[in-house]
Amino acid sequence: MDKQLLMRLNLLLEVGEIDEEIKNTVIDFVNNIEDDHSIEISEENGSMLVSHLAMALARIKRGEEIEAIDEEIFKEVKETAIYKEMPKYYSQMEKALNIEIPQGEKDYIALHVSTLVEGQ
Amino acid sequence: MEMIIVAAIGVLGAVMANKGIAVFNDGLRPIMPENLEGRMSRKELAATAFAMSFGLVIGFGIPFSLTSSIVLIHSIFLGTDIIGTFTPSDNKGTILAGILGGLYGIGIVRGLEAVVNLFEYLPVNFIESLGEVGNPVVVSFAVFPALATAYQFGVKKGLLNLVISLLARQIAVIVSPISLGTASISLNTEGMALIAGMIVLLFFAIREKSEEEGVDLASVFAERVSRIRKNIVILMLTGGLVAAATSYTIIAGDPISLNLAAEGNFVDAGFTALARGIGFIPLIASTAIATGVYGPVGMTFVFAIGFFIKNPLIAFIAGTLMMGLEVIVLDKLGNTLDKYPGIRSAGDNIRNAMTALLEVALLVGGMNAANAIAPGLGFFVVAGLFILNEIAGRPIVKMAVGPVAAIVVGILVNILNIIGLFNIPA
Amino acid sequence: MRIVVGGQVEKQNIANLIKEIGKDKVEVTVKTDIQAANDVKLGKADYYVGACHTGGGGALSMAIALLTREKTATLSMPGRPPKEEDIIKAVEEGKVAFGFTGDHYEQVIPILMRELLAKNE
Repeated sequence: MDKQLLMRLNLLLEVGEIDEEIKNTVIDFVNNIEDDHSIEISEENGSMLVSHLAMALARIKRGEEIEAIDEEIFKEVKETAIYKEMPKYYSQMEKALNIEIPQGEKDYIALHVSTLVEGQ
Repeated sequence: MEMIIVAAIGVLGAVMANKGIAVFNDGLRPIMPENLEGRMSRKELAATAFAMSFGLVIGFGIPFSLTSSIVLIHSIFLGTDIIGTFTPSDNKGTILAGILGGLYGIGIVRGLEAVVNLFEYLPVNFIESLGEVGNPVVVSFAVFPALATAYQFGVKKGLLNLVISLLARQIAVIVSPISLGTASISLNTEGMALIAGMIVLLFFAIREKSEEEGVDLASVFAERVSRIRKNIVILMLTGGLVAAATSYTIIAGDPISLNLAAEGNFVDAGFTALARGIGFIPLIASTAIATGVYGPVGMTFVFAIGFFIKNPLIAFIAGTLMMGLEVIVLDKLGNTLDKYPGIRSAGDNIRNAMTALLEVALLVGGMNAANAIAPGLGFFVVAGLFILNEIAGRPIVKMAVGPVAAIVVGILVNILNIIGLFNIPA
Repeated sequence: MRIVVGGQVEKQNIANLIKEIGKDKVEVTVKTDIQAANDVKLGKADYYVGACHTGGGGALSMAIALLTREKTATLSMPGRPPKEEDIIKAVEEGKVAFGFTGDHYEQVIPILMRELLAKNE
């Protein structure tokens, strides 16, 4: 994770949108993906993922729900390699924050990650 | 201008589905020949197409566009598939299909959210579960070469083919996706199984020396693929329009390239679409040759063209050429297969194999869908209707019973729910 | 009136639509969401506009961070098209950052622009 991405998280932390736990969870998530897939996630390719993830985790913690992506359309994202690995990342986050990530949120996160990895 | 292109795409999609030239739904494609070659009535085809495609268009939430202004092509073509098969196949029907298709295309791009909401008013919204009807079709269709081998060359060889097809499929599952430089190519597993199966079938067929052929049987493959070749012009036109629309960033072929395009990364979107296209070649090519029905976007390379070429006019031209190339290559392939006497004499058995498989697949699909709508009750009704259909002398062709029964179950539970005899499952 | 477009998706389309409606009454620029929010914070722009997949998350995260949540409004969400009253209210309440989903921008921008232009007469 580069400095600019970190700055994003810090900004959100400062105004109380996210807490320390969420910030660390996001950092871990990004680092895991970077390590497992030998890519570098920076402001250039990762700003959307990081923003979305941070806000999503905060949202889930607050109990806010959003509507899911239609599963049939989403089927294609499921074909990508990265999607198959998502569950382990989800559980890591769920454990760290003691939350359950709704399927809809998982789908959006997977979409951002897939887009990032595929767009490399 | 953009509206005109989308409307045109809708018109062509519906017309091609109406005339059996091309359908988008991979699962519907194997079924089309059943109607085109007279084994299934138009109504039965319509019911089956409806069951398989409708739920995919009318979903909950955001089916169309992943919350961007770019529409996922599925929304347009799955709908035109239904419009095309619902309308009669005479000239009036085709014109009607065209008109409805055009209107539909425009409606989708304008954001048909209202239609989605309409279905939420049903006490038991069964539309999405209905889509399960199609799930077994594509997968089991991949088994047809093995079955055809069995019919033609004996059970042992058929079994061998089945094993090899299975292996090919599983290898594809594990190996996929393949990294090619920066892109990753997802191998469509059914496509790999199909190709493997057809190669094995071909292998056995080549080995068969040409015995006396009483009647010159035009084989099933050449005959079917020539149907595609005959319609090359309309296919090319559609390919060009799709490329142009993609270039205008109105549509995309898959969620990821859509997302990339929405973010403004057109080059990345193009590469993603390209990689995806490569992964699909085995499936699209083999179903095209096997069924004689193509897909309105061909091997999906037209999307990559649209993303890479920002000038819609040039994209249009490139798109038409691409589609034309695909059709010609397929035609050559189909004819090459038919050079072998073994394939020619296997013609009938190949056709029978496909039909037999579809019967099983749709029955299972129908049961799954019905059961998803009404657990327990679903299986009960479909099984019952199937047997009754047989006893009654088969007013409905075996293949269509599954989808029709599933629709019946859907309607039934709504009525029962209103009367108070059915509670929506948790 | 100076509007800066941030968010994650549909940025150019949004900017074009704003320019089309506002003509010379409005100056539009497209920037990254951080830069855009910063512009508003520093007074270099009057309003922030952005779209993402969820309407409030990616679109507004940096606006929330730099301008505080009270100054932001989520105008639409997936499957929940924007409502005119909400947009009118948001402008009335003095919000300066507006988020929505990419597929609703054609519905949001005309109303939003109408209200903002009226407010800034």
